[in-house]
Amino acid sequence: MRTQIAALLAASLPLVLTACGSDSPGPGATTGCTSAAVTNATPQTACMGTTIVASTANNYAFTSTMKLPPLTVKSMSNLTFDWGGVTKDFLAHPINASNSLDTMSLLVFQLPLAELETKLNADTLSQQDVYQVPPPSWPASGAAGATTSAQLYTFTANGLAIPQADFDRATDPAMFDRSMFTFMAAASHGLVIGEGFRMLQTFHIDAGASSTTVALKDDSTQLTCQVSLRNLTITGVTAGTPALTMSWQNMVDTGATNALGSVFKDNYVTSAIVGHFTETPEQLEKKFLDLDMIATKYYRADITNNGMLDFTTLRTEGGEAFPGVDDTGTWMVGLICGNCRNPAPWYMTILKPCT
Amino acid sequence: MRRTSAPLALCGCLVLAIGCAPSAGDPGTGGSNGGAGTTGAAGTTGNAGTTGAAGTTGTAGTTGSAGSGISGTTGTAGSIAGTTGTAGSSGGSVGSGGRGGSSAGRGGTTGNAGTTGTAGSGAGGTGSGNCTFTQSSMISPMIGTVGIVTWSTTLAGATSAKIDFGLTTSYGMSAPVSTVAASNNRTLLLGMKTQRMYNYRITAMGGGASCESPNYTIMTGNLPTGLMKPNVSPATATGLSGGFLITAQYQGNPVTAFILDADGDYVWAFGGIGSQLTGARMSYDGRYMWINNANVPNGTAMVRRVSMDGMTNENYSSQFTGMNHQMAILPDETVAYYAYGSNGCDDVKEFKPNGAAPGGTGKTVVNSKTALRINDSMCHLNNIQYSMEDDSLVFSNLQSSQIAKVKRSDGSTTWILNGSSATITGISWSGGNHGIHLLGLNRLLIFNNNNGGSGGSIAKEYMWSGTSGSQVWSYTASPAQPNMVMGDLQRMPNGNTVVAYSTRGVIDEVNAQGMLLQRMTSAGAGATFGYIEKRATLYGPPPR
Repeated sequence: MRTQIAALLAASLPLVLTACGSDSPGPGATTGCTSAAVTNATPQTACMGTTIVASTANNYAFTSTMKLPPLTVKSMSNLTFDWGGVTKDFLAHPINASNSLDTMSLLVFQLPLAELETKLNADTLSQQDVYQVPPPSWPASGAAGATTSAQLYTFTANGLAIPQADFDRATDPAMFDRSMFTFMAAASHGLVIGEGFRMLQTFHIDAGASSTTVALKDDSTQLTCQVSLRNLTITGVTAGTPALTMSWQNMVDTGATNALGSVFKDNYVTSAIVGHFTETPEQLEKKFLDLDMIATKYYRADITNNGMLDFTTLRTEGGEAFPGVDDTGTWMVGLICGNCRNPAPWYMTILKPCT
Repeated sequence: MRRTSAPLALCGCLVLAIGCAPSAGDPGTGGSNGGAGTTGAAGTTGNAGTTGAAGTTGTAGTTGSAGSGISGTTGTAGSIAGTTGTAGSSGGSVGSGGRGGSSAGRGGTTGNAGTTGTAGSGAGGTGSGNCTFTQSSMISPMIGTVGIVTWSTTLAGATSAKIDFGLTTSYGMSAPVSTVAASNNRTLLLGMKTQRMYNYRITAMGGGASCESPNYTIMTGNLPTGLMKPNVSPATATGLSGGFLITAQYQGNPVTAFILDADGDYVWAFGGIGSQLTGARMSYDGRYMWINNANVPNGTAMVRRVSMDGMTNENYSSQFTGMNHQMAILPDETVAYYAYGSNGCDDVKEFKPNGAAPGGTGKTVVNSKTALRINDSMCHLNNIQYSMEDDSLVFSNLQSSQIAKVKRSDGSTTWILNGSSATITGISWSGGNHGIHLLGLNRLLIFNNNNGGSGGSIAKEYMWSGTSGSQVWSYTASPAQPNMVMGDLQRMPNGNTVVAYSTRGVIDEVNAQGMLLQRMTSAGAGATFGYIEKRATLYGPPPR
């Protein structure tokens, strides 16, 4: 059963660290990560023992770009939203449109497209950029089943019927000029409006257009990112013990920036992850969207002590405790701002045994 | 700013018995078993006992202000005091030790400072009145920003008291105490920010006299991880009403009922009781926070009454079946609310904890369809307020865009605004309504959602005389803030109006001329606000 009012934008964004395998983007690819230039030929290691203090020098770097090429459809018409052509989500992870995409929402942003893309990429999009909350959505309730299309006039507002006149008013180009507004069809997994977006398709409305179909395809949303794991100072820790702690309070206190370039604010980090990989840092840069999928071990913990991670609280999904770091493969620890719009880790560093 | 871990901060419990009868504080060295200063002003040269063992038997004067003894500034002594409750007790023997002890609460994280600083040389103090205070304090283990001070005084005939508290010794906030018991008075310090050292001072009054305690300190702890401070722009502005904002997290995480101070900092939060919280109102006596969920569409109502220290969490959900949106608290602690009715229209109801309601559930005052005199198949109420002047209830209905007043005594309708059954002419709006604020018997503010209209939602003020009225004020945000569901507003004592565009995560404060003074925007992804209440203090009755 769908719950109500949208927690908008919670996942409208660039990255989710959950993903299926995708190789580095080849020529012309629309989704994937590349490596940043290596400026540090010989990686340095700072030995910290069991007490890790996070710092900018130890942090990775990350940037992403999301492009949303628009369609143009007929205004004030009973538009058809068709997501049958989606075989991959915007992270390039395979999905089955008929059973992975459950909800279609019509988002109207009070921004021209270019500014919408800019705000998405800068992670500065906010709730009030959405013109209508809750957004019209489909289905009204319950599971959508195997359907892969829906008509605009069947959309509801929080389960309540919307008069056709309101739809026409809401898609009137005289009121919603493209110089100020952008329409977006957002297909999501699950029935909570505003969460779990898997593919986004922007569109403009035009009285002279003939098409009445907003067709979502694999390239409706084009996401690329650049990652740097090889320019950071490796964090040396005591091997073989889970009795490690990591504090980032100094980054908060000093106004340091996170990997995305924003201020490291107090109380924003809600969880931490630690992963072990067989890949090298260079390979991990290219597979950054797939980290949790390719990890040989993947541990996570909720942060209950603001500003501090206790590694003994880390567990795999199966409940296995973090054993400590060894000298095999690549170990990384990341800090997640779970309530931020961009789910890329604020902090990620490589852990390595150090005596 | 120095940080300490939450559990340690939560454990900070300072036990101090500070001498304050005016006494000459001789420079002293050790705090053990020190006698209370009895004669004079605070010493200014004493070296707080850096080596003295914490005394446990000293009887300190109660009003002496700490001298400049080192113990007071090093703050180490109290660290042990904070955890063991003993170190500070002797500091009063010469005055400044007590101060050192209180600082110590912060140091409690190290756990090894107990032998230093308690001796407090030199202080005594210049207290007023002949009385002694014995007190201890701790941070609530449930809410890291709530201080709990347990205290007693020897002031003969003490009938009332207050605890002034703040980030400096100028204080700024005050917790009133209306009755004083012989011992174990328990007073909450509400409105404190996270992870800060607060100063506080007890003043007891009675029998034509009063006396003040020395200054004590307490270190606050954390609130739930992930609470993201809203953006406030501009950070300061002339003419703001100030005070505290009580609301709840409707969408986004973590889901809590919470209080923000004038800086937009979280000073209270309570969660873990479900999702989609829209209602948060303090009880009339200020001892509890009532919290409820949206429950739209009709599912399971969640209603809790949580003591302000978070230590008591009473589940009233079964007594509020079908309740939705929010509630109003009456002076006798009766809760006015509305719940889904059998005819498609909500019932206006009341419930009195520990009393009046028959069968432990709310009594129905009137069905809204009856009160509104309409034949609609659905009435969806979304706000209720209490009119003290005529002991009536005023409610808002979304579907018919109407607001009506009914008498509590018999449910009869006093007036209806807007719509086909309006009893007041000259007042009309369209596009739905949510929050209301009664400004008198013939004046009110409404949050007009203005769904389907242009320009976004509008705050409107109406006034009427007899059966004729008109709009006298309005505020439309720029850029437009169309808020289809939810929305609330409140007129402040200084004439400003606070308008909450709830589901857009925007709260504006505007002046009487409709000029935007400050905008608060939610920071978390998808974070939206519930209904709001601003109040100057977290003590005493609510503002409406």
